[in-house]
Amino acid sequence: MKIKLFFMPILLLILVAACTKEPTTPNDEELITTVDVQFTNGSDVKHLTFRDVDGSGGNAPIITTDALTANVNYNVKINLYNESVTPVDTITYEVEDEGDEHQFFFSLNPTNLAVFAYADQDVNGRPIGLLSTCNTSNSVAAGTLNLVLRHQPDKTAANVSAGDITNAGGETDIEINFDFVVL
Amino acid sequence: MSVLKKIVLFLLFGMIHFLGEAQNCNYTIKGVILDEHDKSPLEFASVLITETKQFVYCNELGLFELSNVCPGDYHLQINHLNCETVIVPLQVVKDTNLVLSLEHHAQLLQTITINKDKNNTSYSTVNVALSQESMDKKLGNSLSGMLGEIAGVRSIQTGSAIGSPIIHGMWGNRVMMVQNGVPMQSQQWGVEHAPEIDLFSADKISVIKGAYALQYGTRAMGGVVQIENQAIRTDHHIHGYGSYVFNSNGLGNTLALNVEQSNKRNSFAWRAQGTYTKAGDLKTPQYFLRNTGKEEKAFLVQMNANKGKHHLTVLNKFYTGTFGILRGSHIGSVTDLQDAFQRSTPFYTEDNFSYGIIHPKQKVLHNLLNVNHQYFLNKGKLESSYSFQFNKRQEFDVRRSSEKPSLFLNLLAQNLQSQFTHKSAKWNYSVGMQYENKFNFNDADLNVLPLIPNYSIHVASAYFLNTVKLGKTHLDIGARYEFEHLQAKYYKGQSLQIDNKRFNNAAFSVGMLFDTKKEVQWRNNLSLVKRAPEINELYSDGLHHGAAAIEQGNKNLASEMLVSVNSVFTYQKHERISIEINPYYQYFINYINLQASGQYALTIRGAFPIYEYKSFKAQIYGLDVSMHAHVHKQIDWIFRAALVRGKNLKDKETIAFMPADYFSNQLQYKTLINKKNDLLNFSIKTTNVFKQTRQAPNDFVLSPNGYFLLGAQIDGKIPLGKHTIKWSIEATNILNKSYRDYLNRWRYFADDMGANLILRTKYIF
Repeated sequence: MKIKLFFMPILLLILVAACTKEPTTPNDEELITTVDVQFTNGSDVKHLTFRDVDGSGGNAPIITTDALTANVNYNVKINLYNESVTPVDTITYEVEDEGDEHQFFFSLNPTNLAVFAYADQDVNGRPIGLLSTCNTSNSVAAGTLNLVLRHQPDKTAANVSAGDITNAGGETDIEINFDFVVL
Repeated sequence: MSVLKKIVLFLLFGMIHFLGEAQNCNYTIKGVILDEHDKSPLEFASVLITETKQFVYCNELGLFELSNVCPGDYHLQINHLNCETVIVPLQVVKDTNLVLSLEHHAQLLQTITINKDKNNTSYSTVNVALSQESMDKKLGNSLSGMLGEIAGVRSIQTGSAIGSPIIHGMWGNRVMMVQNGVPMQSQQWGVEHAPEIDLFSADKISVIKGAYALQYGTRAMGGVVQIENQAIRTDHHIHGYGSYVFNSNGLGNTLALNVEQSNKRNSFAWRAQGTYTKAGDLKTPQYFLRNTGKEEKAFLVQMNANKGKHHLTVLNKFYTGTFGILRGSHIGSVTDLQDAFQRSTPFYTEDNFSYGIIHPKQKVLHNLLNVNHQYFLNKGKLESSYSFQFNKRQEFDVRRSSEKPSLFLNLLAQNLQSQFTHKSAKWNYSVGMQYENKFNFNDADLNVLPLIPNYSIHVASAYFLNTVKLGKTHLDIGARYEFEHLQAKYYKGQSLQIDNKRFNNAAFSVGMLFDTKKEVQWRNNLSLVKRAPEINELYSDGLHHGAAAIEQGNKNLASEMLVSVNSVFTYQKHERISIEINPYYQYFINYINLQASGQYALTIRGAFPIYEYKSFKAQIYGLDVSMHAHVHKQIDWIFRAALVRGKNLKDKETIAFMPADYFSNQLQYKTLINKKNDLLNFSIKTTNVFKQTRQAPNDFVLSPNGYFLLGAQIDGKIPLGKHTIKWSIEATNILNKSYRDYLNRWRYFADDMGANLILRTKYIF
């Protein structure tokens, strides 16, 4: 009798067998997997490349650098891709479209390796950095180029539009240290 | 009709009417007013018939008599200095005798526990409840704010609006939130995931400190926070309340309305409640915290039906909230985090205030549907319930190419439970069975890799609790067993993984309550709890933006085992002083925690430290102290303090997020406005939080300095006929001090809240 009483008040027996739902295949549209910095001077074309096709985690990123020629004024173009999706997505266009919310910063160590200058502008007349010029040093030298892309920086803060990251703020979307060699 | 005839008729009617009334207006209401707990008489309590204003005091034996009462429908108001006002509906058709019990010591025992909760079958655990009275004085506070009134309960915060309670050094997966008897299923593993609860719809919050895993689940290792509603008033008139709360810091407004009614036979009752809150940017003493506004909406509907020994309740609680996340706390990399800490003002700070909520933000929703049946027996009851919960959590980052959330989790949970309780003079026991299933899935359209996988969990449990009274001692014993099946589905690279896991969880508890003298109690409890690793501990995989870290789960983790010892000394001298001292020691065999692996992963945003879920031997121990002294007829002094220490015994390191030492003092002064016992309370509170010198390793920044806060409050009651208005004005951080708290994750980016003036009114009808 007591056992019956025990089970009796269980009125609603909705025991839906919960099945685990299939996850969607990994497809991170937000990701930038590849950064290609192309230096061009006529027929002299050099690349600094960062590639991490499977995103963070998994295989480590592969960074390749070409040595640059001394005493040359290169035209620099940065291309960004998401190679984890098919077809490959060119993120460069998105950064261009939201140019006022993005800025690249080039920091060299030692500072006399080269001189970078911005060669593009956003809708407010401030630099983005997808296009720039790079004037390499006269003599052989080696060091690092720290390339940073900031999202929503304060371009009006002191020296930011001149290329100084100190007061820029915003969020770091890209930060890569490339070997920078001038031969 | 002539004027004379009219006058005669009028007088005749008048006389009959008058005689008619006078004939029957000599009924008497007699009675005695007792203390709810020990049935001692409450001398000088007062009884008022609200409708006729007839009023009398009880004598020293608690006896009262109201005479010359006319027949009618009345509301009797019973008042006593230290009790909650009780309103008793009464229909007088003859002489009436009443025996009434009041919840005495309502103020005195605010933070102290004498565990005589009717529904509790354990005497050896620490159970602290915040009464309706104390909650009314803190209306509008977040859960952390409310729980801050209880010694030893702290909160891990992500700003002021988002917080998770910490009990005895444990939070998240080790503390269980229970709403109306149903364990809350949500994404509680996340440090930025606050429980999705509307406190305006709750009438009572209680905290059970220490392992009380037996009844609710092995997840309740650190304790249980119970959110409950009181019974619907057994009165066939519509009653309820309307509340309004204003916070000057954030210009927050809240409106809440509650209505409830029973039918005359008391066989049916209903309640409906709704709350709306809107607040904007909070302010530190120096600047606005950009994008820290919030909007919350909630409603509750409840229906009760009684027939004989059966009692059925159907309850639906809905809550939704949108919370702004401090714009300046949204970082992209480790460099950003280090830069942020160097700044005196967070990036993106604006000079002006705004109610607007932009990205980054959180949007959460929780719905609880509960059907509960109770069958009352001679010495106990049989209680069964079915509940369905739906939890939806979206977290929006600042994304480059879309407005979609970066985290979008849906959780559906069902719970079916049945419990049989038996109570007699010497022996109480509870036996129960539960079946739970949980079903979690990431929204398909995210376009970002999910942090935790899709999974389903089934748990079947059984438990028993037992209390025996032997002379002046109560002995508790209890055990619980859970069988858990987990299935997780996730992608590793491009291949789909399906993992099945089984866990056997258990809990065992034994305790004793010694009632040595009338004033002294000593409680001891030993608990063993084994809990299965949670989904984030097993399968986390991804970049945790706010923490600038990559977090990785470990799917080979074994269950965590805890041995916990709690000892509570209580000294209580009637109406003079109450002291509670609670030392505790918790030893873990496989404490699961996120640890820095020492390795870094290079990503396009730079290098991020990799944190992994590991397990190791650990201990967490501490001391909670509460004291309430009635130093003068009208003055009370309340003191609270807590210390916690947590250590990873394998690596000899401190565990992160252990609360720093603190103590608080409060002085309360009560005045009586007039003989109707309308109280006006003044109080001043000081809080001292020490610097957390036991720094967790791999913390990017040093812990902030200790700080001192000053607060004050005036509150009172205004009777309006049958109704009451409760009001309070509170000021927190009166000195407008700049400070950062170790447990607030925004301490990397910004100061905590500056001064705040709170206005509260509650109109009870």
